[in-house]
Amino acid sequence: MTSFLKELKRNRIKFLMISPAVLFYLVLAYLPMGGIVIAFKQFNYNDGIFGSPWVGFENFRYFWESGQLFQVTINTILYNAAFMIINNGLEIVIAIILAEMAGKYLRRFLQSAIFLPYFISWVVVGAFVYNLFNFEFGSVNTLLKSLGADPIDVYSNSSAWIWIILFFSAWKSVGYGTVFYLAAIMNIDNETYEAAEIDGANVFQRIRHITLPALVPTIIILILLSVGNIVRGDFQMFYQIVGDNGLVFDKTDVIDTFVVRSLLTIQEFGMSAAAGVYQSVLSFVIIITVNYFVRRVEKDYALF
Amino acid sequence: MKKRLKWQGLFAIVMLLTFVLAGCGNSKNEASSSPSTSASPSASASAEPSASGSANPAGADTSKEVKLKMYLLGDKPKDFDLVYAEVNKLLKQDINATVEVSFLSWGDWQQKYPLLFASGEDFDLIYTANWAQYNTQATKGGFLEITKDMLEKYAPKTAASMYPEAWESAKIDGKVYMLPMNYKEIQGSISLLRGDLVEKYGLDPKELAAKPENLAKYYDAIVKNEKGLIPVNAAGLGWDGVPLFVPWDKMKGWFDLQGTGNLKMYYDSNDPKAKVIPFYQTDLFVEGVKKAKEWADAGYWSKSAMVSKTADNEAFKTGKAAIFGQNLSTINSLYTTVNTEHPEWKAMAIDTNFGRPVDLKPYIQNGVGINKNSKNPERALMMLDLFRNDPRYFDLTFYGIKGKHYDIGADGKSIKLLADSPNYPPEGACPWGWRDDKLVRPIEGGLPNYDDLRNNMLSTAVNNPVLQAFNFDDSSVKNELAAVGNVLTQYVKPLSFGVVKGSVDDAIADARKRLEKAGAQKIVDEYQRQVDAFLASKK
Repeated sequence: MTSFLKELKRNRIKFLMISPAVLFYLVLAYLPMGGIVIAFKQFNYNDGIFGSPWVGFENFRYFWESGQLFQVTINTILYNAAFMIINNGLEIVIAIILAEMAGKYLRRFLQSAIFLPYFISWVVVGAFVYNLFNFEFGSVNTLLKSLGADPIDVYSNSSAWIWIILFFSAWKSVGYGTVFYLAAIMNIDNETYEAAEIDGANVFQRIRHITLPALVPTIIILILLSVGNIVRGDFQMFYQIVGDNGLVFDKTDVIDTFVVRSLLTIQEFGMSAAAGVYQSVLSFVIIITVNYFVRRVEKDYALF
Repeated sequence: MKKRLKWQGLFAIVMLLTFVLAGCGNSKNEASSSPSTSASPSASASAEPSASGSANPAGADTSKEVKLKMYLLGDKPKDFDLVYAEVNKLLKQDINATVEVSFLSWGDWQQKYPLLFASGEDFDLIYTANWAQYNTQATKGGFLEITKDMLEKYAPKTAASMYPEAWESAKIDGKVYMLPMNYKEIQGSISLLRGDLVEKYGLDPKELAAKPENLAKYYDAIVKNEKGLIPVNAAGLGWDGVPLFVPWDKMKGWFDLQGTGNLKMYYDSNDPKAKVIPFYQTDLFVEGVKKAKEWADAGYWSKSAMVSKTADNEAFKTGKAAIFGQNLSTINSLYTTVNTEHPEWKAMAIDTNFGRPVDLKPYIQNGVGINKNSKNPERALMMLDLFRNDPRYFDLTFYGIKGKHYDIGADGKSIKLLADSPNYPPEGACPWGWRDDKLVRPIEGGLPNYDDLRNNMLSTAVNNPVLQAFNFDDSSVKNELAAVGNVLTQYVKPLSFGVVKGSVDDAIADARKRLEKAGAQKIVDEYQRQVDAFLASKK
């Protein structure tokens, strides 16, 4: 206790600086955790969160009753893994290209252009998708028809949606992620490059032996952070792009869309909370495991 | 000095934690003490019971100005604020109050509605109905109980004018949580067609309305000849359990059962035992899906209809679809709008009940409830009393401003729509909760065959079929409903739209198997058990 107080005293400015963040997570992340009890209760307004009757695991039952739990969990993890690999890969490549690019104005322009889709709401993206692939009037089919080809019916072809979703996810988020990598590259000491150049290293050798190794910590941190969310499907994205199209759910359904659809007409708070608990527990296990392995390989890269 | 500061900081943290913990503890204590006092609010002790009891026993105290907050469903008409400015002028005079209205749009009201209650917002009034979560929110304790005493004290005119059976029908476990409309409503299924196209292709409206299959002729003529017009819009939501083609003519006397989400169930009103019929198990379902596939393949609706977000009435209004089906009053209202904007379409309505007798709708089909957390339930009741019984308020909220949106017709009763009417269409601003038989006015320029359609339905209408007052308690099958709802969207919805890969029979067999596995039969059994108990209790 006394040593803690000493520490508090010594670093009081630093503690002050971190306090908003601590307060933020305390109020918005830790305190609401008490709400987990709703998942085990039959909630009603009169008795409130803590007074409502306990129902044990009753609220979780619909997961396995529908027989879809496994499928949607696998879908969620696979999609997020794919996003992680593809998006991070693209971000690194684009960041390196931008960094190596000579013209300052062209670089600025490209960076903004790539960043722009990040600000477009998924609702609007959903409208894009519908207007592209609508069978009768969609742009794609109109183009195909004018070329004399047969129109394609994307809405009943579930495999096509995997690519559509991957494409739009990359299109929308790569610009944002690129900024992290670009910042990391800018931090690399310029003298290293100059030294390499004098030693006769060409562009590719410089990238291979200087830029990439310097990026590894950033890559690992970003990947660890996204691993924590690997069982959370981006509801906005999946719901707005795919919509209520049952034909393709086997390939596009993620935990979040599954839960919303199941509970839309029922409105049972306990059951939605149960879904949240399931995801949180799974996230917790996954992030602890991944962190454990990272730690064993290279202690400095681990989150904790 | 420095030491003191440190201790103060620590003290502050301890205080903070204490407050936080105390906050949790308090709500718990209050909550556990409240169940005995029926639906009285637990948090805001200042609300109705004590306030009215002590402050002013003689009558309502209106000396303090209050601002009421009301939620309605639908999309706000353009001139809504103008109209309610007038309403507020009157309210200010009469009961020293004003009302502020927010709309929950058709697109997402189902999600937002429960959140209003869950978040503990202190709005005063909200539209509710048997199809708009009355049951769910009432059993969760979202509404304030309205007692006979309160009614007589704050809404005396309503207490006198309300049909006794309307009051009874709003009871849940013997308690009333809404003021239901005071109106004998008949809805039925009416469809609006494009008269110009019917004429152009030499179709006979009588023949079209004879059998559900016959509409194909109309659709066919359009698909083959009218480029850019798709006969049926069939927008996304709501078709999970019922195919877009249903052999209604073979379901005479069948009535809807409520309370199972998209799992459509019917009962035959001629069957005294009221056997519950889950639609997906019937042969009619198979017939419907087969026909729906035929029609989908013929292009009567878009192949992407399932994900379309354009509402059906919008599609008809903007000339993108050629049919719109709804209940009589909605069709009548849409007809007036369409006919003013596009007289050349010669919009016409046909009866698409296909010989099915319709039912007089329950009074709780429309109503207004008072929020449990309302700070001014007395004033809210007083306002409702005015809305329901005073023609000044009724006409404003239903038809808009006299001389701007409408005028009284030559007979002194019916109303004539003026040029601005589309900005506040009659009955367009969700005033249905205070609809009253005495005050509703017929509309000039509405459907020319309105009376025919209504009388025709009334002549065969079934008054109060056995299960109309029945309310399903879904608490024991919630998990099954969730699982089934999911299967319905994933496997049955495509069938409803006639989108079938492979053979229809296989697809249906597969969907049925999945529904059974998700527990559909358990829901049906539970429903039947409650229906049996309900019928037994009535004897």
